[in-house]
Amino acid sequence: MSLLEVEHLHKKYGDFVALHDLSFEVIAGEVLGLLGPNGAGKSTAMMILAGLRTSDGGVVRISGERLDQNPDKLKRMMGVVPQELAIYPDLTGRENLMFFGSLYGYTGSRLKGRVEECLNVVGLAEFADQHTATYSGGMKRRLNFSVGILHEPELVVLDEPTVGVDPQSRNHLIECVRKLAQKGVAVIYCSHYMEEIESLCRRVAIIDHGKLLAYGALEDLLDGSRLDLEMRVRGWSVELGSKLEKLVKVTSVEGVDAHLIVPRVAGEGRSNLTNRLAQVLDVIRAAQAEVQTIQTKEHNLERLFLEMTGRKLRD
Amino acid sequence: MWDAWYITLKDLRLLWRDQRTLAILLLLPLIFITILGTSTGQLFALKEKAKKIKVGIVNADQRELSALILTEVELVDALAVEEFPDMEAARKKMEQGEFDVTVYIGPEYTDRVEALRLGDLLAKKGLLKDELTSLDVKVESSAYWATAKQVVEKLVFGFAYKTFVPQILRRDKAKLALELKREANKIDEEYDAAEAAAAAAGTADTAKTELQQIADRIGEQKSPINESNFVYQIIVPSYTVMFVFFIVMLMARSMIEERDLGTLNRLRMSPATQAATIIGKTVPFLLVSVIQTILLFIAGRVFFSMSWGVQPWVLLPVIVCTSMSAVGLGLLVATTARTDAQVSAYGNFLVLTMAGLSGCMMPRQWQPPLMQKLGLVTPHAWSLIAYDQLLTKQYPDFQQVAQSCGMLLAFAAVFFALGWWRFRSL
Repeated sequence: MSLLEVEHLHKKYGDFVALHDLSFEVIAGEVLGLLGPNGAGKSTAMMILAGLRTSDGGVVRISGERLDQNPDKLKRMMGVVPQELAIYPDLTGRENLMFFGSLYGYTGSRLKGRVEECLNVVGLAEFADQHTATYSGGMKRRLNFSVGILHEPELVVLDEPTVGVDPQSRNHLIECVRKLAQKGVAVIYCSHYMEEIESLCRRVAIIDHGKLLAYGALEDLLDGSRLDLEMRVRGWSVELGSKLEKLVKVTSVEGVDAHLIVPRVAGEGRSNLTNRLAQVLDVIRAAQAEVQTIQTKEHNLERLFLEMTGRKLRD
Repeated sequence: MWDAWYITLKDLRLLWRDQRTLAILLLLPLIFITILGTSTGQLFALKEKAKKIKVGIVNADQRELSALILTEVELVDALAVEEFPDMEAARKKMEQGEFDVTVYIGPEYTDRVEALRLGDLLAKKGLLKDELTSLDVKVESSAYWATAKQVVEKLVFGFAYKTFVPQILRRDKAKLALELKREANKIDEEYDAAEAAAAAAGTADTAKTELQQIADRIGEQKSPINESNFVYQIIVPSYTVMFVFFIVMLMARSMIEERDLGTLNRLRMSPATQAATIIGKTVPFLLVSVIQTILLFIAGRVFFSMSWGVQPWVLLPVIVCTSMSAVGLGLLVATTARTDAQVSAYGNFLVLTMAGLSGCMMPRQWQPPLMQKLGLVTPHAWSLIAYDQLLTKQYPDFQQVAQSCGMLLAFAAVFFALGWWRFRSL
């Protein structure tokens, strides 16, 4: 059963559409990767999930209950780890956890026990009584994470939890997320580090301009274009380009040199790709151009992401 | 409401760790009070309030009658009198600012007095129709002292009248004077007889009117206000009120910092309600503000022998109400400003303008009536009105104090309501 259901979420800021008909779901024990370039609408979606913004349309349900109708109860079921380090630098690590834990109704020995547990989970027990201003970037990230999971939420939203940390801290945090999922916690993991998403998530949702571009199992999304053929051609001309227009994608042209991709169409068999390659080579030969290199290219999440969202720089 | 308590505790802990800021909140007003108390003491002090008008007198007449005027003028406490040989010397001193008013008794003064007849004393068109000018007396001053000049003119004329009337009566109507004396003696005798009769009837103790008894009791009460250090009765509360409102910036910065750290969003994502968050963020600063005021008043007493008035406990509601309006304004500034720089800009502008307008920097009594009225748009002014009643009056008007507290609470309510409304946009 889905722990989180997001249905047809819509949000506008003036004339700017931040979210348009966004729908996805997360089941217990799953880590859903949420991807999108800057300004795609991820933060807006997360703010609505966290109760910091209201949507203009659509519904968010947690455990079947509408978030807008029962926010107080559902807030307790959710833990959010924001991208910014939302901790008090002049309090110690322990004091930070004690404070946020008390807001979720933890008191006395239960609070102390849970704080110790969290400090151990993120490897900060030794530094618990130091002011967090003295912590390294990685330690701060780990504390930030532990504040989000302190109250044992059933749904955890992680926004770039590993930004700017060393490989050790990153690895530790990813392990923590994996363990959370193993305990049955539903996790939304938002990151620009594709390898993290690939290693953690079974399913991903890619959004841009507030719209859902792709959503499903990571394997399915990659499989459609797992094997492309990439070639470099010398003797390129506009005329040749127009002849190959329907067979290849031209990625770059420098003088008479061109880079081409013969893409595998989703669901296409290898024999079809081979036939198309033969056609391409015939056209090139007829134009008296020369194929300099030809190679297969593995398609990964980053390439899929860039293909779907474009290579243009974002704000 | 436990959430509000947890947030309060957290903020108190953070404030306690920011001891430099706390020290500034306490030390800066103390330094201000010390410097201003020392440097402006002469302007404020009660003794100096009865500042004497410096009068230079030139007596060109130099006879018995004109000398009598000098004697009378010298007896007036409000006047500091010095005699000059000639008008030129007197004018020079006046131009140098050493004297405020100059009185010139002309050489014909005695002659003109001797020319007066009994009827001239009452006649409108007689020899006294131009008052001092008729007697060859002139009073001069700079434009700044024009009002004092008028007072001195009337005073000198009165003294002249007092000194020459008996002489004229003696000279012209000796018999009339004798009759008047007899009449006066008769009145005295009748009064003595009435008192003796009352004493015989055993009512001597009750002879004093109730009013006199009250007056006696009042006279016996020792004023708690230390007149020698009166300046501190004014500037300690003035600068305390001014610096209490500096909490506005501290509070606004704390809120902006909370927002910038991202912890404000974390509070919003927690089950803590908006009410708990606002109350939790406000109460620590209210406490700091109240403690700041109390410590400054204690310092005023210890270092400057300042009095806490006839009923010190009544200061407490004024302190609390003032602090409430200050933290209310702090919430409003926090939810209006977007950056730390804006907090400084808005905060400094509001705090200093309101302090200037209200009379924190210059006593309200010195301000023109229009400014005094304008000042009432600030909470500072109401606080100062209440402190003025409690700290400088032997018989404070408690109704006025209650009204001031009411106005301070009204300011606090308005600031809070606006801040509450804007809090979501923070």
